[in-house]
Amino acid sequence: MTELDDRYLDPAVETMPREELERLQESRILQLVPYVYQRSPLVRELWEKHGVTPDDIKSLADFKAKVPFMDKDMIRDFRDRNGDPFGGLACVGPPHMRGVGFTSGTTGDPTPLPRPEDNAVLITLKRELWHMGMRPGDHLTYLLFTFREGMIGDRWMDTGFTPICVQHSPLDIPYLVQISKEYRPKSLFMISTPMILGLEQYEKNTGENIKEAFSSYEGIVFGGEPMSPHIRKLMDRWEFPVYELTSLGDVATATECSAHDGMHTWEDVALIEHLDPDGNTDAEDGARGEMVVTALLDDVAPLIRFRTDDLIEFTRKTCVCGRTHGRMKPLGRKGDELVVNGKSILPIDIFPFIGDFPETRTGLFQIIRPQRETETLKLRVGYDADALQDGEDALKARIKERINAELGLPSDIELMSNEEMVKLGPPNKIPRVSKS
Amino acid sequence: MTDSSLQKTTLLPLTIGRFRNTDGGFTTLPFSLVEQDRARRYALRVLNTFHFRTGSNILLTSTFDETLQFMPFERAVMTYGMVVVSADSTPWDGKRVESIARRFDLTAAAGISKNVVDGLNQLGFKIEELLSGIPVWAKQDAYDDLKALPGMQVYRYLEAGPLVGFECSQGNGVHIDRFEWNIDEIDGEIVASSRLPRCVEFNNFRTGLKAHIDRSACNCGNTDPRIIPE
Repeated sequence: MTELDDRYLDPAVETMPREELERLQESRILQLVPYVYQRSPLVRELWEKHGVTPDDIKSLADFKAKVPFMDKDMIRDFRDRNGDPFGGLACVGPPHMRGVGFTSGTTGDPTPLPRPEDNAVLITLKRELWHMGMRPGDHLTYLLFTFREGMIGDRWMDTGFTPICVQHSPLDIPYLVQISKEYRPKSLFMISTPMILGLEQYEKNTGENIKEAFSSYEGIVFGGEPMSPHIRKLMDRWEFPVYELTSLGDVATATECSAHDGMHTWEDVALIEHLDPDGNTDAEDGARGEMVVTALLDDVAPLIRFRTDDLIEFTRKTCVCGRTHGRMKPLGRKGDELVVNGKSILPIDIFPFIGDFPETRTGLFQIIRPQRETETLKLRVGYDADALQDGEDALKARIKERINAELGLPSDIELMSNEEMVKLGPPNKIPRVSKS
Repeated sequence: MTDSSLQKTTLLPLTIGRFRNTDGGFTTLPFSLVEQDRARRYALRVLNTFHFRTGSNILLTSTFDETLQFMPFERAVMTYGMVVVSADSTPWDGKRVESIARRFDLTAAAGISKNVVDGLNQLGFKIEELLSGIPVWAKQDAYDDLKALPGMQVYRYLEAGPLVGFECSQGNGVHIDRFEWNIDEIDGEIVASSRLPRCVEFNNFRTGLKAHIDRSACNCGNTDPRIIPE
C-alpha cells in the first residue's frame, strides 16, 4: 500500500504544487461559469449589464479579466428589488437546497447562506484540526458560536473525530469544563473573548484549575475578532495552544497552522484574489490588499468575484508547514477605515491596548465614524463600573493619554457600561465601527 | 482475504449530545448514526400528519448543543423536501428571527422557547404577529403562554431526559417512538427504558416529568403512545 503523509489530512491537495492548483481552480471555474450564468438571477443580470457571457471565459485569466465583481450592496439591492431573500444568488431550490444559515448580521440584516445536504466548507477546518493533532477516535469540543448554520454535529464522519456539541455561552462554562475533564478532547473549536472572560470568572468563583482541566487540548481555535492583550495573557497563563481563525469572505474559514504565520486560505475551495485597495489590479505578494473570493465548491449559491471589503495581507509563498495554499492576515474592513488627520485607523489598531485598563479589560469599543475623514478619533468604550479606580472623567483622561501615546492622535471618549455595549450587536460580537 | 486483513471493531458514536438532569445539571449522551436515523424516521412519521407542501420553509430555533433534541427533526424536515431556516433560540437572536419571518414564506416554526419570545419582545416584536396561523412547536417553557395567544396554532415540543418528541397535527399529546422506548407512568412520573442497542442504554430511567400516558390510537393514525404533561 502507498504510505500517506500522516502530517496532512489530504496530502495530495494540501501540498499541491502551485501550477497544479491553478489548473484545478481553472477546471472548477470553467464548470462554474455556465452554471451560474444559467441559474443565478443576480449573476445573469450583472454579467448582461457588463456584456459578458460564458463564451467569453475560456481560462482562469479570462475569468479574472472579464467577469464583473459583485458586493454585499448589490446582493441586498437585488433582494429588495425582487423580494428574493437570497439576493439573486441561489442557483437551485429544494430539495437540493436543504437549509438556510446566515451571516452574523453585524452590519445589517443578516445575509442568508443557503446550503445543500452536505457542506464542503468544513473541509478547511478538518485539515487544520488534523494538523493540530486530531486523529480518528479523538474528541473535538465543538463550541461553534451559533446554531444558525443548522445541526452539523454529524458532518465529521469522514474524519473519525467525535464532536461534543456545546453552547457558545458564558453560562455554559461549567459544562465546557465538565466535558473537557470527562472526555479529554484533543481540539476545541472555537473560543472567543466572551468565553475566555467567562472562564476567568469561573476560575475566580470556583477555584477550578483551568490549566489542568484543559490540559488535553493540543489545539484551541480562537476567533470572532482580534485577540486583546488581556485575553492573550489569560490564555498564555492557562497554556492554551491557540490558533487564530478568521472568515474567508463568507465562503469558508481560514485558520493558522503551527507556524502561526498567517491563516491558510484553501484555494481549492475558494479562488482568492488580492487587489490593490485603491483599484482593481493585483496587489503585490505580501502587501495589503482587498480580498475578493469566488466559491469553487458551492453549487447552491456561490459567490462569484465577491468583493469582501476585507483588507488583508496575503502571500502565496509556501508555508513552513509544507502546505502550498495562500496565507492571509486580516487587517479590517475597507469600509471601516477612518482617516484621522491623515492617519489610517482600523479597529485592529485599537485592540492591542484598549483592554489594558482594569475598567476596560473586556476590550469592548466602537470607533465612531460619521464620515471617512475626521480630525479627532472618537471612541465609545465599554467599562465595568464596579472596577472604576478614580471616576469616569479620570478613566477618560487615561484612555486619551494612552491613545495619544500609541497613535499620536487627539481623541474624544464616550464611556458606556459593558452591559449596554453588548446590546449593540449580535451575540458574541459587536460592530467595531459605528456611524454615531 | 486472509484472517490478518480483517479486524472486528466497534464503531464510534456519531456525536455527543446532552440532556438535562432532574437536578438541573447535564448528562452527556453519545449517540450513533443508527440512533440518529431511527429518531429521524420517528420525526418524519409525526411530520407527515401535517401534509406540508414540499419545498416550503420551516423556521427552526435551537442552540448548538441541542443535537440530541433537534438534529433528527432537522434531518426529517430535509428528508420531507422542505427547507430548514435556522436561528439561535437565545434572547439575543430576536433580530434574525424577525428578519426570517419577514423575508421567508414560513410554513411552520419549531423549537420556540421562552428565550425566543423574550428576545422578540425586547425588540418590540410580537410573536403572535410574526408566526400567526402556522403550526408552531413550542418548548415546555413557552407552551402555555403561546397557547393562550389568539391566532396561534401551538403544539408541544417535549424533552424529558433522553426522551424527545413532538405533537402531531391532532395536538393531543406528544408521540414517543414505541420501537425505541418503553415508557411507563410511575407515581405520576414518566419512566423510560430503551428497547434497542444504543451507545448508552436506559433501564427504568426516571425522567422527572410529571405526566400521564395515553396508549389509545391517535386520530392522526399513529399508534405511538402519547405523553400528556400535567
